Amino acid sequence: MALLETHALSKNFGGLAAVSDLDLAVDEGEILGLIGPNGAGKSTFLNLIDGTLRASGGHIVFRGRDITRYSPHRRAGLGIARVFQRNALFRSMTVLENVLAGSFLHTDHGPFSVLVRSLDHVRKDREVMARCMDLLTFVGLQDKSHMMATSLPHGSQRELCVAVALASDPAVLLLDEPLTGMNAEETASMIEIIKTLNREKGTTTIVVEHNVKAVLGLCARAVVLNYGQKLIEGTPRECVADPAVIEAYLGADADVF
Amino acid sequence: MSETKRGRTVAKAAAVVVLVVVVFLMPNILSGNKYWLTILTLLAINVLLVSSLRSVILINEISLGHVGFALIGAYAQALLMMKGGLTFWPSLILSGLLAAAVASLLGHPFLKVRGIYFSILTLLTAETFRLVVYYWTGLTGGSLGLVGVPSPEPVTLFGRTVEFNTVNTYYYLAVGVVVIALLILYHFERAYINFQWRAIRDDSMLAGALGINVVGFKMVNFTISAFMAGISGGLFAAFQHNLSPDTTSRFGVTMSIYLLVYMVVGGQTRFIGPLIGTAVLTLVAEATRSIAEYQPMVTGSIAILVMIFLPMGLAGIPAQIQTWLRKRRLRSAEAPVGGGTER
Repeated sequence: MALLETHALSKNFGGLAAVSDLDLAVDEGEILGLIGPNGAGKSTFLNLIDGTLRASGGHIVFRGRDITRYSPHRRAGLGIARVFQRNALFRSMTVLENVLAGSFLHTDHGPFSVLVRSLDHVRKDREVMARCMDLLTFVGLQDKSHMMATSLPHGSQRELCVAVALASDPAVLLLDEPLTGMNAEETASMIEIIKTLNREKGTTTIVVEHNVKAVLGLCARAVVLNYGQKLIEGTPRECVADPAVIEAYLGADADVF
Repeated sequence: MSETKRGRTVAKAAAVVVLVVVVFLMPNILSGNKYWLTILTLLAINVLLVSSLRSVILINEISLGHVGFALIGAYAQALLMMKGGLTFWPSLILSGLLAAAVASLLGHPFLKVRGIYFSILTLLTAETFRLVVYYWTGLTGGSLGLVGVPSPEPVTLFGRTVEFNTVNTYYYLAVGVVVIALLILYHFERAYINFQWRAIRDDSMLAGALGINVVGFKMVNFTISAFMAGISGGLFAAFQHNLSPDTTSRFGVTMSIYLLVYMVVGGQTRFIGPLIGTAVLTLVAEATRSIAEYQPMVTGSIAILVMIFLPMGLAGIPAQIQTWLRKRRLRSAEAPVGGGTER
């Protein structure tokens, strides 16, 4: 059984169907590439999966459980982590504090923790701190742990976003254009991070990306979306060679390749 | 580094000790001057109200409705004591709980909106509470006010009976309750879910995606803050012995705005801010009593000056001076090099 499935998933904004009747299955441990022209509904799809948006129709099934009506924090609790397209970081915090905040799910603290505090919390907080440093080492930011998160260059901020998402130890990682605005070196290191993660921890990853070359190197399977619908599904190479995909990207009589 | 840190901790502790001693001996210092003790008692009650307002800042919202919760607390306190036959302490707790209950009911719809919409909603809700009290003449006395709220019952301490029917003694009671309430609020803000508050304030969308129950945290925050506002209302009712729901009373819109000004002048980023802001502006109001009709202008100009020159408020002055000194030191360090800045 697939880890994450959507059945006839739809999202309408007024009369615009951003995602319509989308059936998709993501297997445990794979890196799935999600490509498509601008406005194809890729980000909307991720928003539906992580709960930022409520679906207009259809179902999302995660590990056999229907999570269509779950709020974002409950989905995060189940192991769905998200890296936003913008560099979403806590701007009043340092690099390390950002990752600590990301470890929230490992701290046993809820809204009512304001009323009690136990030694158990303190002990746990120490363990969490050690894990955070490990994560920063993993993405290569260990030397910058005390800098303000927003003072990092764009590429490092992106890596930090991934570290923050990983802090919750997710089963599925949703990456929304992780390579946007990066130079070649940063791109390579980000791809390395995603691949290592997948190889060592088996983290299932869904990547939305415009950089087709990167997708070719990263994913074993890709899905092309157009107008909120699945255009084609297969290996990335099959996808980019498909006439329908070329038409969707470049128009009917393109003669580029 | 740790030397200066330790020095700062010692200085802070010393300041707290001095403050406690001064507050404790205040009736003696003022040799029982009723006028000033009344002002100080009201000041303490207002500090609690402003602090409760400030705790909503933690979730990045500005509430203009805390006078509404204070009103609920005050009338609950009065009615529970006068008609419910309860004694002071249980009704104080109950009035706080009632305000908290109302806040938790309103919290869910309210916290779905943000920013100015939240402020407007809370403002209108407070006005609604006030008008309900105004027109519910049978229960609250309406515009005539509710007269004869009893003082707290006497307490026997170490074989001495302490009555709370004079300002002299009520001052201690009010300050005591306010200090305990502030300690609770401080714990609640600083203790260790500090991260979650900051996360929600910085980016609530990301916080949600990381598993933080944003709405839950906001609800708890709003409820606790309303509880404290209710307690401050209860303290006020038992102190003043009469309540009025007029526009010009402390439950009107003007008071909401004043509370906000107290908070901003004191500095909303610091816990001590409401204390400083309320104290300074109350003293300014007293000092300018001879030109009472110009008081709002004086308060307003102070607020404007503070916002322009001290964006962190009066409580931020030490930090401001530090940055200023550091800049000066940097500049004087660079100056001899003569424009050879390497940075």
